[in-house]
Amino acid sequence: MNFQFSLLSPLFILFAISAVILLSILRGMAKQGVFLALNVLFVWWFLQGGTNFYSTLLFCLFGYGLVYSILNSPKWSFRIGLPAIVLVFVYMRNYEFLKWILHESLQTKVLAAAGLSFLLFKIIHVMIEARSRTLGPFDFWVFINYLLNFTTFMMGPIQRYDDYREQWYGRKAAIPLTFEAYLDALLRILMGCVKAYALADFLVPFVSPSGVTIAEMSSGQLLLSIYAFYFFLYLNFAGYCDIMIGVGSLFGVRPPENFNNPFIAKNISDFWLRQHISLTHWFTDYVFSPLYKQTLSSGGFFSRPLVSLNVSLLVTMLVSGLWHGTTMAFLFFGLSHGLFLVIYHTWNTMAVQSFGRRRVREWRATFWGKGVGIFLTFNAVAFAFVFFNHNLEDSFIIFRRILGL
Amino acid sequence: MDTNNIWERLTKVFRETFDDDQLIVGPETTADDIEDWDSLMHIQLLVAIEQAFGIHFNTGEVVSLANVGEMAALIENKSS
Repeated sequence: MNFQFSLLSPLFILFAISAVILLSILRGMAKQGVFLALNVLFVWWFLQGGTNFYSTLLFCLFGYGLVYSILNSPKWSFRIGLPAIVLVFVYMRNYEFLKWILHESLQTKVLAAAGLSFLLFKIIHVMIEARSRTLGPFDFWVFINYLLNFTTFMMGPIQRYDDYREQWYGRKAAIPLTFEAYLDALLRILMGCVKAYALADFLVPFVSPSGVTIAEMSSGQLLLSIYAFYFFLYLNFAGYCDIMIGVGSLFGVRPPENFNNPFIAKNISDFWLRQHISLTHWFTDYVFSPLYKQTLSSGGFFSRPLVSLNVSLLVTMLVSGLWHGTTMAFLFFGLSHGLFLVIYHTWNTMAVQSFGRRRVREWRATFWGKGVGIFLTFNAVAFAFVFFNHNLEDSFIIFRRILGL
Repeated sequence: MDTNNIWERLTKVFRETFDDDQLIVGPETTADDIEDWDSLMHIQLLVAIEQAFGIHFNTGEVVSLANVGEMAALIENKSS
């Protein structure tokens, strides 16, 4: 039998069916234990065992230890715990900038497990809620299964701990107990497979035509490749989410929604409320809002509303860029989106100040207002994704070629 | 500070923040009921409340507030 990991393999289909049946009939500790066994098996299979599998488990246990100590002494455990887990994460992921501060013999290449970025954000979310005393009951087995939950382990969605716990204990229904709702979940899994595998695969030759380097591609081909990559990324990620949300719905813990037609976003803020929604909510709650609140109440230059807003947006998107990937290109991805947001909000503030909120809203609702907004947003996003698909050098070559410079 | 006093001052903060003298808020009011209440305005509102009542909201509280009733209860709790 082929043990290569794929969500389309007969092994995963068998795994998902077993999970749905077992978790629907079992109760109490038996259900908790079986779910843990299934999750560990899934993570082992996904990471193909080895060092990164064990380091992932240790990372989860470290996260548990930190939350536990924060619950007992919030202030100091959080102040030490947050930098500690971020440093461990940066080391395990072997960020590109580490080569400037760490000798090569001290760097690691075997701990960079996929899924670690999502684990980090789940752990930090629980740490912050624990420090704020807004976490609710905290239990080792629930927490470990929350972290390793196979429907959110690979690429999110980033579920909140209380949402997971309430569904796990059946206090909140994943989906209504109707035939239609179950049929919808099954159809959603099928749709996800079509998106992630058939449609996304169809776009691959347009994203990177085989046997042709970037230097050999015409500017038209490059432009097509940029748009194709945007759709490819969406189909691949949204398809994966459809599959996982469908499977989770069937066994009673539904992951949160992650996409809502990002292509029709009318501005860049609207885009982030439609794309990777669970990540946007995480960044809004735990990076942007605290920063914006802090700068607004700081007095002095940074407390001016527009300065405070723009600084907070820029910092948030830079952190987001570094979260998305370990190389400098991802920092530029974050910087691009930070600048897009700064430009949009500055323009918006000036327009509202000059013409009034109501009139700006009316203009936006017109056909041309919407059309121009969608066109600009679509292109800005597609071009920023170049940093996602290429290294920094190639990205700038592509921009120069397309602009004819 | 009694509950009536809190609601009176809270309404004043809402009216100043959203620049609307006619705005009426009650315990069940949520962000969905006020058109301009997005995540940016939410933070501006909380900063204005912190300054008006001399209190501090932590990150978890900022995230968990679901309606104005919860906000008023938290203010009462913190300023007592």
